[in-house]
Amino acid sequence: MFSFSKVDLYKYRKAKETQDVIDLKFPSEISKGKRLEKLVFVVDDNPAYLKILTQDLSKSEIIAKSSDTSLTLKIKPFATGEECLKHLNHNPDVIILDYVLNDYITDAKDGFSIFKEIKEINPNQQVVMLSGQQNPDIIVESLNAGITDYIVKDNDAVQHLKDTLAEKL
Amino acid sequence: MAYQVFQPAQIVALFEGSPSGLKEVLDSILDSSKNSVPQMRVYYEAQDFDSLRHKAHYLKSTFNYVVPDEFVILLKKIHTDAENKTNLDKLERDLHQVETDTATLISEIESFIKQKAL
Repeated sequence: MFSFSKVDLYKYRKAKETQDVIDLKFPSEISKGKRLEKLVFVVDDNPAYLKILTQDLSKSEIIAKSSDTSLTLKIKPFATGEECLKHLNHNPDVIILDYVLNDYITDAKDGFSIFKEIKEINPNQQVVMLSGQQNPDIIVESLNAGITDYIVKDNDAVQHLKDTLAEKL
Repeated sequence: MAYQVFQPAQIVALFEGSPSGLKEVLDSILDSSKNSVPQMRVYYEAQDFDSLRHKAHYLKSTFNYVVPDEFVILLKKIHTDAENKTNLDKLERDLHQVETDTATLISEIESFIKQKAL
């Protein structure tokens, strides 16, 4: 069901009067129901990968599986877990965390330590681990510790991540 | 090398309408290329396979959107061999290939930046 705001109605009437081109926007929230903005923190110490992932997710349109709601992702990138922790009061809907966070910044805390600190502050915080670590012991340990999902950084990682966000958000 | 190293189509599409964003990410890739590949050589010479593995993985993530699959597979092979300490006799050859391809990648990205006046 379409619903027009007063401004839309005014524009529509003016356009009818002047036989002008009707410049009303019919964004996807109208055709697909509600559109919600979700705040997503992305933590990765690889600057190129962080920029690319931020851009990729920002441009993505994700449909939440549970509610068929269109989601717009507002991405906040962080190069370290420590920076992410300082911003937890912004209440992100989900945090995407790299397991290894000290390749580039060698004195930074690793992703698993950051994950544990996040859980101490907010036990309900959803955290997805996105990592090149394929060691089964690490994956099992992370999942047992309460990680929402563990995604291995391979060629399908970003699509897998979008599927997880669609499922969990 | 039987393939073109720098393949910009995907990243250009991703940063469409944001030339400054594209420039930033290409600069990051250049920076990583210039630093990480020489470090891999140092780790190889020192037989520090754990650090070599980390660096191969790091470059794999960095290059994923801008190089052909063959290059990513080569980095993955180094990562696996360094992790399992297998095929060590082939590591030198593979590392040399990475050095050669990365030098080409750097040159092609720098030309692209100039050509597009980014």
